[in-house]
Amino acid sequence: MGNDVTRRSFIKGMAVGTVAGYFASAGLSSTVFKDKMLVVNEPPKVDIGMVKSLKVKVISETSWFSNKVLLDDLKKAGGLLVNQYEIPWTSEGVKEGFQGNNAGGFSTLIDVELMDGSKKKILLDTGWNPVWMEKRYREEGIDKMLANNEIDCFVSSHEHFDHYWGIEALTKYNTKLPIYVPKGFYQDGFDLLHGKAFPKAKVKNDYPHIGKLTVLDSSKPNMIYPGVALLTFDVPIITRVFGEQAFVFNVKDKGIVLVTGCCHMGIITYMEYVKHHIAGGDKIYGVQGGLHISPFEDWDPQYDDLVLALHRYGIEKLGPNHCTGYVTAEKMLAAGLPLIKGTAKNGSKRDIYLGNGDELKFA
Amino acid sequence: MEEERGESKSKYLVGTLVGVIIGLALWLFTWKMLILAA
Amino acid sequence: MKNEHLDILWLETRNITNLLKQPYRGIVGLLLSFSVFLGLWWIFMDPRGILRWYTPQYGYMYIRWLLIVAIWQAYIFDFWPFSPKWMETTHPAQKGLILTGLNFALTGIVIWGFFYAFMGKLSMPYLSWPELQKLGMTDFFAREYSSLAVLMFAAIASWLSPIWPAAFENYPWHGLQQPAKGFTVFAFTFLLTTYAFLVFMHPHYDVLFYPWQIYTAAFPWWYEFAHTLSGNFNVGWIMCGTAAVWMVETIWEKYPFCLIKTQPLRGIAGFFWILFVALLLFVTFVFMQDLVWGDSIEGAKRIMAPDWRYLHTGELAVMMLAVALVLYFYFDNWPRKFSTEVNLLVRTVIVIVSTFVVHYGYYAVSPGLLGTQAGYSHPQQFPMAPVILFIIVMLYHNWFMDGWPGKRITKKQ
Repeated sequence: MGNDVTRRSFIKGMAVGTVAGYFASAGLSSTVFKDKMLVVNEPPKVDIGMVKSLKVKVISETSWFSNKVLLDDLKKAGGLLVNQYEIPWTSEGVKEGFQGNNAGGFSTLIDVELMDGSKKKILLDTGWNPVWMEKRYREEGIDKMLANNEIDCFVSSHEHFDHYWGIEALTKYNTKLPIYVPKGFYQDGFDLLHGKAFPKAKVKNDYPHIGKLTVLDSSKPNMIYPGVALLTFDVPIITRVFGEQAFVFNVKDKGIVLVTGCCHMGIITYMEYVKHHIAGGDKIYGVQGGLHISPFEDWDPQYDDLVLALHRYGIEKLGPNHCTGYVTAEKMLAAGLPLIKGTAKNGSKRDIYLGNGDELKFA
Repeated sequence: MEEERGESKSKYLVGTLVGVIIGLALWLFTWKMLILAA
Repeated sequence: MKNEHLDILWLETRNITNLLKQPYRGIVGLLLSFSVFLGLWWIFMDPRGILRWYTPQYGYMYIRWLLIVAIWQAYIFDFWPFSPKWMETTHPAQKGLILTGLNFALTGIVIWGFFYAFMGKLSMPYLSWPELQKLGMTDFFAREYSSLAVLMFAAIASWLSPIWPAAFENYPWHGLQQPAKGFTVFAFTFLLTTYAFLVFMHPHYDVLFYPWQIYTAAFPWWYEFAHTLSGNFNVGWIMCGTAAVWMVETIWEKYPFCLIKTQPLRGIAGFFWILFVALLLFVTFVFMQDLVWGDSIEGAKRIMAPDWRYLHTGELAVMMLAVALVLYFYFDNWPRKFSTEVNLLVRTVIVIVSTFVVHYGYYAVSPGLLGTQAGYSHPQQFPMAPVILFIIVMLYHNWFMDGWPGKRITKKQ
């Protein structure tokens, strides 16, 4: 009887001690001993080589012309989780639109000179509205470059409607251009490339691509030329998109330059990744492209965290545009960041940052 | 009776101490698993 | 652990027995609730469904308010104006319909009446979707920003309101009759909720708008140590608090503060114990995320953002709570045959292990099942929303309907 009682007491004590010990250890590890118990793995850095110089021209950064119309489309469809191919985007009667269509598009031409003296032209993204994109392509001579095989490859940053759905404007001039897409593209995206139409979303491609298509994943930096790498991030994005890739250039005597489409993974995350994984990543000389902070002129205190944190990276040329958002740009200027102004021409609304037709040199 | 209660209390305490060590070990196991999951 | 009670809820006095043997009773009950949850999700929330309110704050706001109103109905007002006799003798299906209908109606009145038409109109516009619209804000964001504010009142109240019956046994108002007792506890806890909202969430609205509303709201005072301006820092530990109060109440049987026999000492001990558990869960979940995904980076987005990590602690805590409630409601708080200490240990182990399983499983199946996007950290996703909706269905089933048809009320001895 006595043994029974004492054994039961021991077991009860053990039960209490186990629960208390587990949670107490958890609490102490998470606070007092956090520094010792947070294991950090420093991966080996990858040397991507070097380029002599880099020029980036904004073909179009006006992805849409009315924020209100776009957000009304999204709200009516059921919010930002709805599949982009299922949303009946407004394409007529938009006062600020292009020929009444709210859709514009994002596209950038990259001119890079390699160390051996050869020059490469890369088209990053191909916008949304093929009619708008063709207009801009003709104005900047992209149509002729595509037809004459002067453009070496097309890189799709991610599958979003305003970066990829203008594919018809590209394949019209060149169906054999090598294309790089990030891992995460849905079957719909591949089908569009090969000629499928999506009547509900009002997107089609009458010129199916027949060239080489390469899917790049996030396992390592993907080198396309010496000094030019693409990094893919496994990031979930609005309107049923997944995965984005962006450029890393290592410019001689200057440092690392990052060129993005939308940077949905976040510019801070991107810079930190480059810092820890790319040789020379400590010196980020420049950033160009969409940074997706306040694209709808909305806000979140997290974006203030971002603006305040940007100073830590010592960027010398900060050339965001497109989905970065004007509110973000104003806050960046107020914070004293080296924002590059644009010319507000060819349809871009404000000169607060780079606009359609504006060029930025990193050399 | 008093002795029994006293012994029971001390066994409870000993049990608690043993339990705390088990709890710590279980937490370290959890910690290791999370590191491997990284 | 049956001490002398100052106050007993009707839920604590009812005798319900299983009509099916365990574990079949539990499995059937769980499947039933889960199916109803999926149906409600499809109708109201799913981005592929009918109303598509999961944008996500708008739908999440309704879910949060349905929860706190259910807590007020069952725990604060003890089902007043319905008498214990009515509760005991009315058919569960009828009770479910009436009490759930009341739950929906009150939620609508609170949101559209109290917040949108009154408080948002006459005090702080960000509490009202129509008011923000009138000020020229884009409709989508007018709805999202106001929804976050309104739901945070419910989230904080879900922690502070039940503490009074659960820890304090409604002391010092335990002697009052309903509805005086209900109104008093409701008014007092909602007052505390309002203070908590003003201190923990209102500063978020200082920096949410452009320019910063520096005269209307304090600068987020947590910035120095939280490394984020976002109120998500507080959302995280407050959500952990909501989970803590209910886990203490169910699987942990109010242990150990129930050992204190007298009020208000017991209540005070209970309050601080629950707060301690909340903060413990909070720091542990932050640490676990840092181990798996790397230390968060100040200024980053998505999975590397400090504020998202804090929010995610709440998401983890609510998953943990869902498991605890399934164990409590559908498996009769198994086990109960050992000593209290051993029972608590076994339940705790089950809940901890299951939380990891649920976390992994949720992200594996939610794109197909719930219409969400793949990935852990999506700007428009909150697993808290579907998980709490599932919890609400369990409450409707077990609080309002006595677990019928798997369970039945038997007459008191």
